[in-house]
Amino acid sequence: MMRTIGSVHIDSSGSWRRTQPDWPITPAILATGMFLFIRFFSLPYPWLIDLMCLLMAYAIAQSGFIGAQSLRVFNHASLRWLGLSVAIALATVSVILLHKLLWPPLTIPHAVWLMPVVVFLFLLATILPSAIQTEIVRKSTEELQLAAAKYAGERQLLEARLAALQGQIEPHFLFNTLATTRALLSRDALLAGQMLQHLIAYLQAAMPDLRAARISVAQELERAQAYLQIMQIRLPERFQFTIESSAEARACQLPPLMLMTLVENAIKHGIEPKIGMSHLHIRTRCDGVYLQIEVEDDGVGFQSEWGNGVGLLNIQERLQTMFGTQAELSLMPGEQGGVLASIRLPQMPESEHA
Amino acid sequence: MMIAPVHNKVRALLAEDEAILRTEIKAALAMLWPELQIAVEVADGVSAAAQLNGLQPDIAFLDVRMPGLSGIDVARLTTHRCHIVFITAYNDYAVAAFDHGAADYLLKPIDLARLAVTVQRLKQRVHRPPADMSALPLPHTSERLRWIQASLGNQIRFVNIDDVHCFHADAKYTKLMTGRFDALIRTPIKDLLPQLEAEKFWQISRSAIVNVAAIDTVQRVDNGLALRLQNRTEWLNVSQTYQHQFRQM
Repeated sequence: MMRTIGSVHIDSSGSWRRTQPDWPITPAILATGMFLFIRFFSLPYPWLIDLMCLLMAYAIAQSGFIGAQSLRVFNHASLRWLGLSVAIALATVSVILLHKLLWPPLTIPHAVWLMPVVVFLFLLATILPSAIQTEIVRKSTEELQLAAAKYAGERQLLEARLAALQGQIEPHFLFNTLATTRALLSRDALLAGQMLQHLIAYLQAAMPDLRAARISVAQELERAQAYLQIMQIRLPERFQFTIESSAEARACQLPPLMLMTLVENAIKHGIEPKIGMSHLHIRTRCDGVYLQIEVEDDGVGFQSEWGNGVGLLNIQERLQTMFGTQAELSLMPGEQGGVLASIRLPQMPESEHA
Repeated sequence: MMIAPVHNKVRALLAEDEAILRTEIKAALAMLWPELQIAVEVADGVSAAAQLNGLQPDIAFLDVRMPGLSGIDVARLTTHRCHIVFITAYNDYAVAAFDHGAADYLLKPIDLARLAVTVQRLKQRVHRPPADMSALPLPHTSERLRWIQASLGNQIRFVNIDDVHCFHADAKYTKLMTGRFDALIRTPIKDLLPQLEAEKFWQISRSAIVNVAAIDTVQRVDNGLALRLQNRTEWLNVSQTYQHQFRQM
């Protein structure tokens, strides 16, 4: 059996804090006991009956107060105040009834209106202060949580941008590409020239991203293409890629670097570690409402269940912050082994373009 | 019994997955050290490990990032000891490699003057016994866990570790609970624990780890503690062994 000794809450700083007062078990038991006592022994002590009524009223009203505070149904302050008022009214009425039951009106030693008024005032004096205090604490906590959520959203966006900036050009990629270009210079100057052209396209496309909140699919695909062509020159017998996109999809907007992150991930974690031939397919579709981007590879597939990279996590957090549940990043095992990564997001309206 | 063949020439293995770069390194070595015989060229880690054991060269030039096995794995796993030179595009592992006896560490694009120093160093060492590289540490193992892949039906979700409220052992899987959904991972509780930050995640029983920030209420039960997580109705028991974490607060 679980015995409740009040609830204890651990706030984010890790300290213990009592958030709720105890249920009025003692007054309730005491009042019930007194009621039975008076009933069975027919004790005509007016002070005992008055005291019992007072205790009973307190138990009922306090239960109402705690019920309103702890039940999830009462999710708004006005609802909780309503609950508390009903409980106080109920307590007062039940006390009047009890009083009548045990002490027929004609024999009451004091005025008939006196008891309900005293009970009502007693309830207000005992329960109202703690109710007001609890509501104030609750309100400020809710405001704090709201501010924290807003702040967390802003921070995620900044972090994503920072991480995007830091992880923009991988040193391994850059230096391997430069090494290949230099090696090609003496043997195949034409190919070396092409390589440089692709590298320039890749780097140029990287620059305006740093400030823009969104970019067209066409631009993002151009950059991905430059990157993939570089990889194809570097791994001539090992790597092929295709890009499928409709004119409609190319005109869509998306947050920068998301497509690039998926492509770079596929190369780094799927294709580079694989021995032998591998393929990468990019597909973009737009049905007027949603833009769907898929990057599929037939590389080595999922190797580790956890990691510390920030790329995919950032995409997920940015989508969540910008579009809520309307956007989605999903990863599945690909049809040819490897990984199928896809992003679905609502089409971004041109008018919001700032 | 096999007797190692006697060679007058020093023999080397060259492992680099990009053919263009491999050819360039080979040409540069031919220029700086014409007597060196490149016995075999390979394009992946698995072939490199096989050829090292089969051909038993004196020197191995190993690219760090290769398909199959990384150059570091090849150096650790091979049973044939030889002088190892790592090749990489990014200088992120040099210190650890040197500490464990790598002969040298080359950066791409290869600088001829720098390669000449390497060749000089190798010529001095080649007749001495090579270092044992089997204790070479793997790079980047100290970084903390940031995300975990969890399956939700046939989908794979990337879950930020900070969003996880609880890990719970569930038959042969581990159930992961966030504020929004439950999903499954394959990693067992005991392997998960060392990866998590001790201040943020507490083990509360053999089968459960909870995120401290997601605890809603802690209650005393008959002879112990039980806790409930945010937006949850079920109570999780805190085993005797793990209750001290709650007491000290």
